[in-house]
Amino acid sequence: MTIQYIKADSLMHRMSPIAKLIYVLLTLPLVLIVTRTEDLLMLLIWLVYTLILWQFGKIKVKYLAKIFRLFLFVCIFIVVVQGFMYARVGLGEKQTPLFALPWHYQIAGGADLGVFTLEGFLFGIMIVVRVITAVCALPLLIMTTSPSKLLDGLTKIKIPFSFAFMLVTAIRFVPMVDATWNRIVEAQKLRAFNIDKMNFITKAIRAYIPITTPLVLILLRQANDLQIAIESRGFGAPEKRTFMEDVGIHAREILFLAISVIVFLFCLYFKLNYTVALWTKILTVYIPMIAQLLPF
Amino acid sequence: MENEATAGTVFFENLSYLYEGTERPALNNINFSLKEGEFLAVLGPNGAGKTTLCFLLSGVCGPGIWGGKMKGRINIFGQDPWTQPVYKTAQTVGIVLQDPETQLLMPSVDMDLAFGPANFGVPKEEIHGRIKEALKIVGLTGFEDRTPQELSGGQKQRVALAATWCMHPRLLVLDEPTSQLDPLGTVEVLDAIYRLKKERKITTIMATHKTEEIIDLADKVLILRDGNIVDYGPTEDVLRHTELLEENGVRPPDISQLFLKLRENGFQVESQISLDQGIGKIEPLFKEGKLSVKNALPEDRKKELGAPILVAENLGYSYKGYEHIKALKNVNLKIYEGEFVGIIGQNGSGKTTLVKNFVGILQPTDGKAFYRDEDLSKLEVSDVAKKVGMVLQNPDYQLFTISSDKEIRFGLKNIGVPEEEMEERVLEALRIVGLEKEYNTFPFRLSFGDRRKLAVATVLAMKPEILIMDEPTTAQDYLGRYLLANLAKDLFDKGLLKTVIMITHDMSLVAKFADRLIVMADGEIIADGPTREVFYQQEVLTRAFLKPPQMTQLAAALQEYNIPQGVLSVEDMAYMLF
Repeated sequence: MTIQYIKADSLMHRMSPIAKLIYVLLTLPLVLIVTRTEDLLMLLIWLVYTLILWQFGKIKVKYLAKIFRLFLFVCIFIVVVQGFMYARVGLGEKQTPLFALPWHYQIAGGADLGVFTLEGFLFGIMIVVRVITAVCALPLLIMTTSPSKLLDGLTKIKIPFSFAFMLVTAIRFVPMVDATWNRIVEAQKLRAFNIDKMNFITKAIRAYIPITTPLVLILLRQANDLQIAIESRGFGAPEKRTFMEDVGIHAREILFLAISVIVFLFCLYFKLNYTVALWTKILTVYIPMIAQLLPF
Repeated sequence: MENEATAGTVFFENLSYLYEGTERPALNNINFSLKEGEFLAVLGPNGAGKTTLCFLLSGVCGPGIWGGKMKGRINIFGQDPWTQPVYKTAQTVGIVLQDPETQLLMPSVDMDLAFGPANFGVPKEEIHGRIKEALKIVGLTGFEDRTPQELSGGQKQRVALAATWCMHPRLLVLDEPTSQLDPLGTVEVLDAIYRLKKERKITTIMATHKTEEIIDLADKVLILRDGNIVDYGPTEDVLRHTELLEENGVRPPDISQLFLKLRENGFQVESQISLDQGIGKIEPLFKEGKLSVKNALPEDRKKELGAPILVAENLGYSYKGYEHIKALKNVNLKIYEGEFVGIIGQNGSGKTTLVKNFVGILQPTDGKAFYRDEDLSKLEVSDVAKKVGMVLQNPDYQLFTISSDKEIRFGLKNIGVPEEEMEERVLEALRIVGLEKEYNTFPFRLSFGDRRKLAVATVLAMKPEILIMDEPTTAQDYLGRYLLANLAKDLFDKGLLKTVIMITHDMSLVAKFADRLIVMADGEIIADGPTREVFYQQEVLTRAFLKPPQMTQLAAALQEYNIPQGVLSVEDMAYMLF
């Protein structure tokens, strides 16, 4: 687990989970309405806003280093694929080749698969920024909200308690499943079965059965015990549940939401009115200018 | 009239219970009754119906969760769990289960404690008050923010107890609350239970198989076997029925076993159940000269020690991600051929980490571990398995095939035993553990005890020279507790095993079997020597939070009457006196 609650005291930690949830929900349409390369500019505005909020939530980039490292591979892949395959020739868009492979294949009315284009490269970058924007919004809710507040917050917005409870229980039991897995791997080593030393293919073919079978059986039994523990603690009682946390919307939350909505609306306004003009200028003026400064 | 009689009591009246889809009643015609504030202990071997009794009280065995058929009547302060939903019963009956792991439902201690009362709509301020008070009772003040992963077993179980208490139950039901804890955790939990009884006068029913736990707690004792009542009455009376307890698989306190021996030898003495009472009764006998030391201690087995077979040289280990904590610190140890070794210490003292370094599960982070002359870190897991076998506490982490023979073949295949030799090895291993008839049985159909035996067979089939057993008595009752240890002893005496090592919390087990005892604390070996000597090193045991067997304590108390050091068991004591 890399995205998980981190105990701290900060503005975002004190913020109601409901407000943070609304912020996450605002991110969604922004990420979804993106269609063209020039929308990159709008995404960057929201991304910067998100990163500023991170500072108020004491979230450090290093907590997420593991996830970003994983992403890096995907990002490079996206950029390479787009660089070679992007084509809007039919729409009359210009194609600027950056470099070409000795091998060519021209798709009729589409891209030349042997040529890496600037437009494709930028489109790839846009997709990457889009993914990063979406991913960066989540930690703001999850890493700054204690499970207790999350539970009460979800219940407050009328998500059924049993569903919210399920989410929180999952958070509680992930480390337990992890520990059980490790114990089984160790136990099978005693029978000369060493999964750590196997290559990927052997693992996939024969390695997982001796580990997953005991795991599933043990988890089933634990689920049984869990049911007993939950029910004998009064789960499902018809009384109105006590909220242990203050998750209401107060002045702080209203201010936060107001700022978020203003930034959100600005993003939309910016996308509709300015992006095309600004983008054209970037492509036709700034990029050639930078290109001239480069040694090659 | 009726209401007044039932409102202040808890009772079972001619109660029988049948699990869904079974023929034999799990409980048969059970009667007992408790007044408010009393403490009932339920004792009995595995399968006696202790857990069923607890689950009937809390409504788990009932229409709400598991169904089943019931005859007779249950009364809990005027309520009947069969006629109401489980959450209703939960407001009156709080239950603490065996496994500390699955009982903590929430990611932090305070959330967990709030869970129950919040379900019943108790106001927030009151819940905060209850949490504070509950943590004080169980001695965990300041632990509000901890996550379950940051707690030891004993601490988890105390949180479970506190969480139950937070619901303010009138009846507290405890189902073997200490069976999965180390000695220190057990003491912590029992202290908390003791405080609840003394300070809160809470009505309690506790199932256990450790007789010595309930001597100071219980007002009444109920003994069950195969679902039937064997004995029921005040604690003092029931625990004195030494023969009856013994016959029915309940371990009588050591001291009362000694009194049984005294009576068998013609002494007219009443049985005693606690150490202090026992000393009070026995001391006069020595003073009057009726008892005296007649024989020296029984001679211990003399076995030639061979070459060192497992060696640790400046061995150190820290777990990944916890480099600042040394799980093992600079351990130097030689274990020889021909030794039967016991390793004791609390959880986290490093004993499991030590043996894991000997079986190739862990690689030392400092120093070296050797099997004879071979550096264990240079050997493959499959090579180690042929030399050093290890049996774990819980077989369910290993068994996964559809038949016992396949289970054994799995390991043999991994170490590369040729096909033609396999059948013979499988049969032999099954014969050694006494499971020949279960050749084709699906392992999960076997009882827990038999599954453990099968796990032993899977190890023995690989023909190791050394056998390491982790807690060979866990989850076994008084009757079956030495089964695995006896099996190892037998192979050891026949020379099929060169060396046996047992890691355990069970002092009477090491007293009976081990001739060398190693005590560990904080990743270090703090004592190492013949068992009879180590158990008399009081300051070492105190440092490791361990207590010597009761007879050793008695012998120490009666030192002035020429009782020599080295007494470990009732047999030793009886051998010397008669």
